[in-house]
Amino acid sequence: MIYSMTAPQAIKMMQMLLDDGRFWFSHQAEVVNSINEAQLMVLKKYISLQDEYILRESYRYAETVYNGDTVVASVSGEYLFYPKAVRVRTGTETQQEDAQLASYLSPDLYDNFIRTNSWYPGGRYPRSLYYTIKSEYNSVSGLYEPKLYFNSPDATANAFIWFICIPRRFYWEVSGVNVSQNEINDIPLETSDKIHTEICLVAAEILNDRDVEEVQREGRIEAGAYVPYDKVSLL
Amino acid sequence: MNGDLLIERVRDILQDKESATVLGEFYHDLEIVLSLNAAQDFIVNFCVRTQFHYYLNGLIKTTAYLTSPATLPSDYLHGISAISGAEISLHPARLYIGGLGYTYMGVDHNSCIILNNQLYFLEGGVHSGGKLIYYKKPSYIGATSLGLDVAADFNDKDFYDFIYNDIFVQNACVLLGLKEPQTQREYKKIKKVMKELLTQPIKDDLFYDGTTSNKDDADAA
Repeated sequence: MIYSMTAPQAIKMMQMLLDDGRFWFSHQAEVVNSINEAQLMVLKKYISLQDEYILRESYRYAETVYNGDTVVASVSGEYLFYPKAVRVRTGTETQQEDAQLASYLSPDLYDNFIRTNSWYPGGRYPRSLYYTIKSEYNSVSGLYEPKLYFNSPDATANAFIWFICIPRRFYWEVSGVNVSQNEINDIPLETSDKIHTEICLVAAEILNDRDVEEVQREGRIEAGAYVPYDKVSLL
Repeated sequence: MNGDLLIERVRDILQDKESATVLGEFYHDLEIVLSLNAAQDFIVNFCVRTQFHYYLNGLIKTTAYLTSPATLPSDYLHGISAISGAEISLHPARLYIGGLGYTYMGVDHNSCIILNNQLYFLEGGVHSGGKLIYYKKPSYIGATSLGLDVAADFNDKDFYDFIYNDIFVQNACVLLGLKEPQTQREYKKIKKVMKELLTQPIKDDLFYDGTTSNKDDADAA
């Protein structure tokens, strides 16, 4: 949707798809959870397809990320979901001469093969620079946080990173409305508005799979199992 | 976009008119407006993704000369192409959308890079300026009865009449027909219809190009 869905509109669409007025309808927390699950599933799908038309609005950047720092969006504070491009430099100027583009390595490769801190500004050629992302537990916040590592011994070296962020959790509850008829504590879908309809359809499919009798299921999925995405993909 | 006549047309198709024997109307004007806009969104997204540029002629816009780094226009939908350089000597530039572009920022060629709502024009790897040619978001289809005629884009018509009358209206009618599912079987049917709307909102007949390979001709033969 080019015109973004508000949280009540997303809930209304779920209701349109699922509520037949006679049988049990999922309660609020379950609907909200399913929408969140669906939002991440659809976003993952478009990341794997490299579909920049959809991903554009989910881009965030973090500047001045030192080796081992948490990657948090500089303006809005979202965590990293999928890294896209990293440049490492010593100052804050992205285009300085000795800024270097880094290539991604998975954490296991990075730990095993990038032993030497090989890159430093003005170093000898060939200069090679690699980075990796690891999730590490923060005992203060109680969250797993994405950390950026790159192979440079220079303590002033810092990264400018563009990445796809984790959208804030969708939320909706009946808590009164404000002047613009939106619920007060709402957090609407924060991915691109072009996929809001698809997210609601996937969420409805997740709920529908629980909400019916055994004989009505379309390809039964074991209780508690993660719903495989290919069962609900739309495009 | 003034949607008053489109609402009339939707009501005609759905036979949702008040008469001597039928009192009142089943659909509210707002429902129809939302459906028309949803239909418009489906079709514009479909045409952008499948490269049906003919349908999007009315959405093409060019920015004024912008100095890098700039902010994307608020009505931006999707990039088409770009030119960059000094204002008096602009040259064709490669347009990058997304993280890939950032990796090319130091490379010696003309480029335009779009990252979220930021816009960079580069000439020989150095920040410069340029113009962006892009598709804008279509104007909102409003209705006088809802007080939406005060919107700035109320009189903007972005598409040919047949696209509004034959494609948007038909799709809106299908969406409105989804109201009130009764059973699981109906749910599955609705999901199928929604899937078809997302993946193929325009019927094949409309793309008939005069050749005999058309499906209907084959059927008739």
